Amino acid sequence: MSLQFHTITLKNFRQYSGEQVIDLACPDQSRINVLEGQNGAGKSNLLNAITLCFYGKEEHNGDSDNENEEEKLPYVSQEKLSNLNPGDSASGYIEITLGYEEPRYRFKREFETYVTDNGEFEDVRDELTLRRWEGRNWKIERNPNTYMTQILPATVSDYFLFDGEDLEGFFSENYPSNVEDAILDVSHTKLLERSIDHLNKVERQLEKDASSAEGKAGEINDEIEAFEAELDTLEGEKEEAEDNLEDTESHIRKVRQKMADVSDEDVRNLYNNRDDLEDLIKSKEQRTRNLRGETSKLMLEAGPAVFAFDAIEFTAQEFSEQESRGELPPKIRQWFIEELLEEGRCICGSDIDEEHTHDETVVTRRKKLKALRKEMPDASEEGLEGKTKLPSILQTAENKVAQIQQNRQLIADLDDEVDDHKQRLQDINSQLKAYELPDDDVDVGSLEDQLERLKDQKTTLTKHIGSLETDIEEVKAKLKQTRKEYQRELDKLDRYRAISAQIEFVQDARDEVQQIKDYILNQIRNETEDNLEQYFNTLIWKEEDYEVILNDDYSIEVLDPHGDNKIGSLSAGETQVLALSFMAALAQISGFDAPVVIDTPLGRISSEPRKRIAQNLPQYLEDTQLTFLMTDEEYTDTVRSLMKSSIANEHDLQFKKGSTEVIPRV
Amino acid sequence: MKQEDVNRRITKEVDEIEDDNIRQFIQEALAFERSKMDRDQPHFKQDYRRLLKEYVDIESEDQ
Amino acid sequence: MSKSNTPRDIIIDTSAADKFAAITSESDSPFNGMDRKDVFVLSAAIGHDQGLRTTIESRHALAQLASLSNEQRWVLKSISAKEHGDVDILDDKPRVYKIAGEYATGGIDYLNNLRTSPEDMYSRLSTDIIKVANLYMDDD
Repeated sequence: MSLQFHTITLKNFRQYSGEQVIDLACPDQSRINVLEGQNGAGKSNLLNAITLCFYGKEEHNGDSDNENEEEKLPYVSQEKLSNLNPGDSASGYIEITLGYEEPRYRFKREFETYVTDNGEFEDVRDELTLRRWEGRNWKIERNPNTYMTQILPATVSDYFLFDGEDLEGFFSENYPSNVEDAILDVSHTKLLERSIDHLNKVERQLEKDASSAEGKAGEINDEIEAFEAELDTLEGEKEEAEDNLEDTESHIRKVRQKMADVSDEDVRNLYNNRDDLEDLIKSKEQRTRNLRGETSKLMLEAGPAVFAFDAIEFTAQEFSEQESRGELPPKIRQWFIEELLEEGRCICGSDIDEEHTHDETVVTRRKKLKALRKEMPDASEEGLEGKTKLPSILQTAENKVAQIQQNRQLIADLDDEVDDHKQRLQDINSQLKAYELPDDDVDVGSLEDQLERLKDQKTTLTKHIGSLETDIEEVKAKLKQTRKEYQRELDKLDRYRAISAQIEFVQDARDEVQQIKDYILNQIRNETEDNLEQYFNTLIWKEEDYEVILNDDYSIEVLDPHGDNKIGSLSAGETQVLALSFMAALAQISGFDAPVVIDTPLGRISSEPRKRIAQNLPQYLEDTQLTFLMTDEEYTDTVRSLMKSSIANEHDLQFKKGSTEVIPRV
Repeated sequence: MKQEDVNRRITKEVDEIEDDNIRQFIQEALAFERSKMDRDQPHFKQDYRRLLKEYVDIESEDQ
Repeated sequence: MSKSNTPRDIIIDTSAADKFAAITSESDSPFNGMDRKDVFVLSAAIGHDQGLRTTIESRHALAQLASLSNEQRWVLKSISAKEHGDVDILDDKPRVYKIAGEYATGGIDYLNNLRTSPEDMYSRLSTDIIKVANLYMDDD
């Protein structure tokens, strides 16, 4: 089994007041830990405790009601802080022991919270410390971060320690860039990226050096600089837009999460109806796209015969007339006879195989057929073939045109249905906006307004990004062309031959390094693809096997046994499975032998698929210690019984009067 | 892929570069980069220009 | 009738090459991602239907003739036969495919104009195919 958590000790950390030791060591065959707690009990803060200890940072806000990170609660428990005066402080720590069968590493991070003069709280955290078991005692290590980097560096920790609910947005519209970033994270190619980046900068520097060249080279270099400035601006704008898009999508998810907390049943029903309608629209739009693709193919196949109908009919007519003039044999076709002889079977079905030379009947039949072939008039081969082919070409085209008509009708029907659904969606949105609920329940109307604004924002940003991408490609193409011109100009000038040679050299070197990087990424993509497919088929509850393809552009295809790509129409449960599989694939690829902790792995999936995923969870990332932080809604009795045989430790996070106590279940 | 596997792969691919000058230049450039991996924005221009002077031969037929 | 050699390549005018590229790679074309040789056959048929035979001034090889299916070749042969007025021309393979290439040169221009017009090419073309099919096939 992988490296595992043995214990996590929390002292005075947020909801975890006092000192609490959580035992997570997994003996023998069982390797799953489950910590169950309601929302707000401290599941996310447990995940935060781990990353805070290891890396000095927190990223998981799941449980918190605070959207704004600056409004996060102080490190030290409220219970401790309530007794403090301005100028006082209280401290605590997080200690994590890791090891294989026995604990080997003890990482610890202490922290303190001060009360400022105006009664606010300020956190200070200490450096990470490490004690390593050396056989006889715990030795203090002076470079804990070096060890941490070998065990689980921050850059790949996201694939081992994560919130299942964060995965909801992973496969959203712009997911290929998420996939690409993730793969770069685990690829260890930073060395090559750095080198490529530096070579690019050196190239620019050399071009600048040559820019004092007289004549055309100077002018062209000015053009290059202008294009580069334009490119920088566009790329900056694109990055900003992408960040804004990510923020918008995150806000949309938060608004939806708030909506899910509403208690009014009518509103919940409306939300569910809306989600169902959105899924339905998505799948029908996909079906329309598929039908259009099919129809385009049919047009290409049937179009020629349709537009050349008169010519085909004319030609067939000509052959018919040839036949009536005796220029074509009426019934038997020469090529048909050739085929019979080759296949060794007569038109009546009897055997006339050349090999059966001992059989008199067979030999006689063959002789007769050969004689018939010789007797045929010396007719136009074309005519023979054409006579048969042309009518069948027209018939096939007619059938395909009928199919085209059918498809167009299906598309028109689907369009009408989608329009109806969209109208219904609008009605639901209007209803929700106008909803008035009691004060202590969720403000539905205002959430609807927020959601609508955010969705509009998302559409605008997506279009903007698309148009920026086109502009960027255009400028890159112009830049490439202009650089070539510049090179040619430089070559002409003797005194800049040296710089020109250097520029060319740098470009060659950069291309070599780029190729190596691409090659390695390709290897990693292939390995990720294999792992992703394996994990997906392990976790997914369907009987059939899916083929998962990770393309060069980092888009993913999930092909069902019929070869249809399901990526655009996966249900929430299936998307969660794909996301979990992807995380597992990356964890595997990264080469790090670390344990995995997942907060809310089963997210907001409905109960039926949730049960089925739970059933398969014990096979997820075999040989890795898994710790799941689940709500009571996820960790039902059924789920528990399905996972029971693999579970090493179970704990309850009991939240009472502002504090959480971790109670092991027996 | 583990870091050491990637490193081995990089070494193997670099070894296969046919042009001697380019290969040796890249080997030195990567060695330089390895020495600066722990820094966020290391200085590099001087080192790269020095390497270029060493390896770019404008008299050579190869260029 | 002497049988002459079948040409190796499908030839169009050089000016048409970009249009074939556009029809098979631009996002506003329903044939984005499909084979140029298939678009060639459609173009020849449309060129024939619209009477757009265009002389080839500068030769450009689009694809190999062998890549066309038997059925596709029969469509092209029929076009040439109709143009010539009888089937004797079918023995003169170079001429058969020269005529096809000239029709395709005109036809692809027509298709590309459809693509760049404000009307949706997919809708317009599928409507035309159905209309022409109904016109001819209903007469049977």
